[in-house]
Amino acid sequence: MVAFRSARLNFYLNTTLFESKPNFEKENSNGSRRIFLMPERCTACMLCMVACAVEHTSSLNPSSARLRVENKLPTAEVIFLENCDLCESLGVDMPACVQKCPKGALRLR
Amino acid sequence: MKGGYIGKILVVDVGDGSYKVIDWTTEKDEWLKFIGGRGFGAKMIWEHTGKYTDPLGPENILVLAAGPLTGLPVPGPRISVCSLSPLTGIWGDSAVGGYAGLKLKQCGYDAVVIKGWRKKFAYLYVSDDCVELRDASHIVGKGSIEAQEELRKEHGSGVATLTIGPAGENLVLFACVTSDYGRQSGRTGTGAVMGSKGLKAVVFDGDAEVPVADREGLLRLLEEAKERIIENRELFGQFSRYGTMMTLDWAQDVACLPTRNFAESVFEGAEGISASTVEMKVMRGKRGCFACPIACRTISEVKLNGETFYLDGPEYETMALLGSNLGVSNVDDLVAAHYLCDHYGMDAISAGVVVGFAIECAQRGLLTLDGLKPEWGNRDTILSLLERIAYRRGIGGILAEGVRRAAEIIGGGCENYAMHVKGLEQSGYETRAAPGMSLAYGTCDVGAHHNRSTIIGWESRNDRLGTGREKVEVQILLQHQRSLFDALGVCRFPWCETKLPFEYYVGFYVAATGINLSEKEILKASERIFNLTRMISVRRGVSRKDDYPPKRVFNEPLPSGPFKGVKLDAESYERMLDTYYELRGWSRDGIPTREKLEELGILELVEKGI
Repeated sequence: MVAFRSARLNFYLNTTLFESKPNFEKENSNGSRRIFLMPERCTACMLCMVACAVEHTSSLNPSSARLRVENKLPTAEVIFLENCDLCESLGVDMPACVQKCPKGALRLR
Repeated sequence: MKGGYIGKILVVDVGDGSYKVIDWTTEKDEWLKFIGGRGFGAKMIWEHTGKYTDPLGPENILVLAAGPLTGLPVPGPRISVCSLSPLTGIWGDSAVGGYAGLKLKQCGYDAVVIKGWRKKFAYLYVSDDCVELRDASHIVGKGSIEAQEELRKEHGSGVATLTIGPAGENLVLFACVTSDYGRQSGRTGTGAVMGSKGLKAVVFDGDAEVPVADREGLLRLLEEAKERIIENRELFGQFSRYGTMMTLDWAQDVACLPTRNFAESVFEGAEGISASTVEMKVMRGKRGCFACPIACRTISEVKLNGETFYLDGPEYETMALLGSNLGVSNVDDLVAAHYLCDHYGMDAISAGVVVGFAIECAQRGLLTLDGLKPEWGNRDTILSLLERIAYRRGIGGILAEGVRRAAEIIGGGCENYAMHVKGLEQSGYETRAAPGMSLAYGTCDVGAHHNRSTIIGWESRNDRLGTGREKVEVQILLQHQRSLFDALGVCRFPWCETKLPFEYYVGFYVAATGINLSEKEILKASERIFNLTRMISVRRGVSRKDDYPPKRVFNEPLPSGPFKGVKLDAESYERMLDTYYELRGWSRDGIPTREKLEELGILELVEKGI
């Protein structure tokens, strides 16, 4: 899995005008990892769901992911399910969904 | 089947709610020739309809077909909605994006076929283990977006829906099928076919996995493709910011922006409806279809009667046809008109052309508009005409038949202002100074639509006014390449807008299905589909006489802009058409020859149906 290079990510983020307040979405058991969503940046493309499914179940089925994206107007919603452990069990720095979001809408703090 | 395909097609008779599941893998060589999507649609429509089938009768079938790549994380899954078109009377198909394609495949079918008809409106609920017709009285009469909200409340927001609005219920001949707030299978009036069957909506509620032959290979290719898309910084940055809206500025620059019912090709008020104006004034967010890193869709805010609504749009086509083509230079009026089209569930391209036609005819004294002022850019006129069309009230009853029929009914020489080919209203490119694009409209299999070939881009870069052989060759290649995406069941924008090489799609197909096809073979399959859709139309009376752009293009020179005084030369158009038929292996009358059909391996199929 190739991560976005940071210069490219910056370029990408600059292409959108919408700024929004990050919504707190999910934290791990001891509170050291938290995922935030910038709701106005989310395009509901579900690439986070695909990334999650690939990492955790090795399938391409977005329905087996540990989060759900709901396309609503004007802003989309992301819901993390109970079984999401922020990829701690995989021992990676960055959860798959955060890493694969093409618009930088999911953030790890 | 190793992957990509599921191997099953669901056939539902809406008359009594009975259904059967066809396992097409028993004859898989016959089916795989047609790839999927619109290819499967063409095969089924060739076999199950005939010369005299009424498009709005019970014998016509509506095919919702996904392709082999639909439902896999290839950017933008598409469903091809195929049928005999009530607007043109011939083959019609239109692809719709969003999430519906994903959910259809997750229900465990490659396609859903709807036949028969019923009196009382119902909706079809399909999931992994259930197919059911349910009472739709609570959503009948509602707008297509409201109906969708209602169904999502009922079945959970994870479902995908295809709905029709009041226009589809009232059999407006250019009604469309709406998915996912504002994705439309716009052209050719598939919504009217769905309305004629008494079907208000289809709900897909599946969670199953779509099989794939070589998962690792596909993932690697997708990752590489994403890198390639993003590497193309300028195009990618612009396209993900503005989507198709950025075409408006380009169309104005190269003078092909339809203005005031295609009378002119440059619009003095283009600034007021341009992409940057939309971004500054009404844009509220961006959306992408499933698995698409580009996200070209725009969400805008609409103010209508003091209330706020959200619109999935505008797109270039709606900006051109509901904007410049109606003389609208105010972005608020533009998005209001677009929102009404989405709400009523009718094709914004056809609606724009029809309203433009009505205003021009009224100005020339051929028609009265029930007391509305026939002025370009008049918000009241445009919005009330759209409403009258959707409910077939007053003059709307005539306009709801599309420009071809409306011009026949009104008479008095107004067919000179009816912009259509084969009955389908012309989409957003003015072609008097673009012979190649005129040919593209003339020879497109559904009518005057740009999705088979937008050679105008190539023309404006290479040879704008030429009518040579090279242009016709490019045209045919484009018709095969572009329509292949509807057969594969994915969006073509990563290829045509952000320049992802075409080989990637061949790679995706091979990785997903495990079937080894070369680029040449896959384009051959696309040619096969194109010839079969042509035969469907030929069986219903189409020949050379129907392959001409609208009269206006030949008769009236352009009154303004850089191509002032230019019109399309009839003789050179005839020459191009001859070359086109020759290169396609069709007769001089525009009918595919026996040899051609044999070469493509569909002679037997065609002979059985004729």
